[in-house]
Order: sequence, then structure tokens, then C-alpha cells
Amino acid sequence: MAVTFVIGNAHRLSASLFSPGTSIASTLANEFGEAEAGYHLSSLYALGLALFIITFVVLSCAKLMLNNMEKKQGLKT
Amino acid sequence: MNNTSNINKALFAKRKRDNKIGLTLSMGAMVLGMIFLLWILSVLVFKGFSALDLSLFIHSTPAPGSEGGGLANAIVGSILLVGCCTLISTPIGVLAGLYLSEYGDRSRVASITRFVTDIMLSAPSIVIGLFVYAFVVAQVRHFSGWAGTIALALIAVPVVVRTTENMLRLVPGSLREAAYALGTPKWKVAFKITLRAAQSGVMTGILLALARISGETAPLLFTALNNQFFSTDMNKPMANLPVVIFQFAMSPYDNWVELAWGGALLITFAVLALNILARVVFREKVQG
Repeated sequence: MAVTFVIGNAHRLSASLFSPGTSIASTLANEFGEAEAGYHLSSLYALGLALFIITFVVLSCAKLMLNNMEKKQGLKT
Repeated sequence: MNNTSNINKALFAKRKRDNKIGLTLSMGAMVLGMIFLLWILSVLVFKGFSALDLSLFIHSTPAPGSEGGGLANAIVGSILLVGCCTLISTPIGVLAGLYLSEYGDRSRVASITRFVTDIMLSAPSIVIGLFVYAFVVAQVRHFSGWAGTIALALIAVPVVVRTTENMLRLVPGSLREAAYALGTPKWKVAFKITLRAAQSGVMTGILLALARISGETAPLLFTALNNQFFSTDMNKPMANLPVVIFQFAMSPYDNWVELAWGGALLITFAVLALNILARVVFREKVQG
């Protein structure tokens, strides 16, 4: 979200990290308020879903790892 | 035979060296963090201080192209939003935390609740904004202060739940057992003994949640929106500092940009003060 100020909000894929790009959160912040009903709006919702799935998967992995570590506690490997 | 000859000199030297390397690295990380914190604060003070005057607190946000103006509507809006959110999220969060630590413990419901709160704790705040937009704003067909409050509460509740649970777990079991021995019913033990003992820890959690939500921009963008005028009606779109900063900082008007810096300075120091307050509240408990 804070990235919106500095990322450039350019809708293209670029190989260089130094050229303007965009992130899911910054796209949502910029466009959602004035999105047209229909494809625009639902694709923005889809972006939100994608972002949520990414965080969900990463967090679930972290939780699994922690659980495994807890189980192994006290055992010598 | 003296003791020193028994020590493996090479190993000792290696461990000392490793220790030094580790210490230097962690000190370096600390210094790096401090440098950036101080850098951010000094830029904020440098740029925002000129905007800090009385008119910042008594005038509302200016229209495009007009001179002067202040942030009165945004300051009041932020206080209202954060205040209502605290009133909503504190009872829910504290009660849920109480359940997790006193009743649920290792049950299936409790572990699922814990997992869900952990997910909510780090869910992207903009997604929470989208959710509230879809289920509140799109249904009633207008932006409102209440929608913003709901979005903020969704972020604050998990923070309060987790800190409350952790604080209640620190209360020694013998305290609960003593209460049970006197024939106290379970609910009374939970509310009057455990919660009482962990009071300042729970307060710390609430203050930290407050500090977290008062700077959130993303969930307010599509819920409370913004309001150019002074308004305390929670059913209408409501001005608030983070969104005003977000809009004004990228605007072409010099006085708007200056107001954005002033607002950023205000909100940063408010959050800093909250964090310090939380630490002081917590420390008093530990000593007393």
C-alpha cells in the first residue's frame, strides 16, 4: 500500500526492477474506487483474492513449519 | 596441574571470535534500524513542522486551488473512527482471548480460532477494505464512517485476541487453583482473577491495536472514503488523516502537500506516543 507512492503504477511487465511497475495492493488502491462495474471491478476483486491466497499459503507453510519444529522439540536428530 | 592448561586454546579463541562476529552483526542491524527510524523522523519534522500551527487544528481541508486550510475535519474523523473501532474491538477481542486461554485451551475449536486469527493478523489490509466494500458499502450504496470503523475493527480484533491470550497465559496457574480452592465458579475465576491479574498486559494489547489501526490507509480508502467538509455523522463519508495524507501528498498544490506532511507528522507522533504509553503501562505491571 505504501508502495503506491513510489512504484510508478505502470501497467506493464518489465524485466528491470528499476523501471516503473505495479503491485497488487497499489493497483487496488489506485483503481478500485473508480472502477467500472463489470470486468474492471471483478478483475480487481480477483486481484484481491490472489493477494489473499498468497498470504494464506505463505502463512500456512509457516504454521506447518512451526508445528513440526514443536513436535521435534527435545528429540535429537 | 593448573586449570588453564586443560582448556583447548584454539577452540576457546574460535568461540571468542565467533561471539565477536555475532555481536558485531547484531549491533550493526540495530544501528541500521535506528538510523532509518531517526532519518524518517527527522525528515518528517523538517518537512512537517512548518505546517504545524493553530489553523491546522481549526480549519477544514481546503478546496483545490484555495489558500490555507487545515486538517480539523480529518483529525476529528480519525479520532471518531479509531474511537468507535476501539469500543467495538475491545470487548470482542478480550472475550475471545479469554475463551482461548481459559476455556478452549487445546480443543479443536480453539486451535482453529487461533489459526484464523493468525491469518487475519497478517491478511493484507487492502483485502479487508475490499471485503467491507463488497458487504457493507455495495449493499447500502454509499460510503460511510461505520464501514470504515468495521474495516478497522476487523484489523484490530485479531491483535487484541492474540495479545490478550498471551497475557492471560502468563498468569500463574496457582492463582487460578487458589481461587478454585475457595469454591469460585469458573466464570468468576476467568473474569475476576485471571483477567484482573493480566489487566495491564491486556491494556497494552489494546493500545498496540490502537496504534496499529490509526495509521491504516488501505481499509479506509473504499469504506470511509474522505470528506472535504467537517462532519461527525458516521453514516456519511468521513474525512480521516491517512486518506487525506494519501491524497494530498500526491496532489499538485503546494499547500496540500504541506498539509500532508503536517498530518503525517501528527499521526506519527500520535502512534509513537501510543507505543510509549503501552510500554509504560506494561512496565509498571512488571515492577509492581
